[in-house]
Amino acid sequence: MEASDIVLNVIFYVLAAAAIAGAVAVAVSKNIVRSAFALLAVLFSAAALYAVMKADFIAAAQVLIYVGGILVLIIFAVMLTHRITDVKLSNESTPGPAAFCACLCLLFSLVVVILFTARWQRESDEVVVRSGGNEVFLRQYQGDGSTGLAFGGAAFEGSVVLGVRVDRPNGDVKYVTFTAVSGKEKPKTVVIPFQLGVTKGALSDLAEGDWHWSAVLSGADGEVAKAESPAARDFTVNRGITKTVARALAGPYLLAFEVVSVLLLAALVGAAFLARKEVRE
Amino acid sequence: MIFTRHPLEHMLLLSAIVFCCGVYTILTRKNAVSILMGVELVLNAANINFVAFSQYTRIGGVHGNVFTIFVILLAAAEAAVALAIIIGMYQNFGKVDVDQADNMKE
Repeated sequence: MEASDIVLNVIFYVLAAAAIAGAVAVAVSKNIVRSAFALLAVLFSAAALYAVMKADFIAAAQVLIYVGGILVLIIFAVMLTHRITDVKLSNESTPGPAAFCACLCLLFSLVVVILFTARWQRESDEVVVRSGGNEVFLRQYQGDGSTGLAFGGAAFEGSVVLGVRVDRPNGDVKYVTFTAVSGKEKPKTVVIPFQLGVTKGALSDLAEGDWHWSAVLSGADGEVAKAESPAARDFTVNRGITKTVARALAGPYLLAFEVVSVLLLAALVGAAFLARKEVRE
Repeated sequence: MIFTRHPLEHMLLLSAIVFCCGVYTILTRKNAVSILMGVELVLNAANINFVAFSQYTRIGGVHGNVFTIFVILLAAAEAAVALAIIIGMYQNFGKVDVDQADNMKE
């Protein structure tokens, strides 16, 4: 484990503890002002957690909208509440055993599902491409001085052509074509080096997933199979997600985005209508 | 490659705990503003899940983040409407106690 990972882990668990403490305080605090400020702690910890999870744009949106908008609204409502210092009036709750047991059961079932029932598996780094009778695996390879794509298979029938597109961290695109001609030979592994244009010393600084590849395999019978590097996610994340989120919002989610903006307008008008002073005749 | 960062389960557990705190708040509070706070906790738990899964999936990688933005926007709309309703309640009942707003019973 590297030092940066340890630091990130420590930050993550500290923030998680802060979020949980704040959430519990919101749930059980006797004073509504304390509840509101505990909610502030939860929202800020959540924003920092998003930053740790490399969702930088979401962290900014969380701080701007949640903390800057919603929470300020809530705190205003709390402060304008009549006689807030009076505990019995301000934050009355009915903590019955039924509600507590219900929440405990809910938590228990969630924990069981998360830890035991569901299988969260990370996808393997190895990608298998099948084309015709050929089965070829592709794996990212990082050795001393060379970074590349390991490519091999149990048996090739005739010749296999592998075209690889490599996206470099600086945005360059490079194409590599590799041809394997073999009969039913012994399994072999070929490393296609990607000349990333970095010196030997700098290569170790390249994080796994800093580059991204996609491969097209075409067999002798003309059948074509495609594969993509498992680290595609890391590739987008390492460059910051703001651009990718913007593309997604302006592309496949454009209609949803517009609908949400209409809904916000409707909510604004509706809130103004509801909160208006009643005119008595 | 050994994955050394905090596992996905820990983020899901965190969001589960926050979610249960929110549900408990909604169930037990009488003050409407406190109930609104519980709803915000529940929405934040969902957001943490979205971002966590978005980080841990290969395909797309960003769709969970987009959904988080939508949830945040809807939470803003929800907070505005909820506070307007609370103000209306205060004008009608002189209190923001949800137990008192039972006019429809009669």
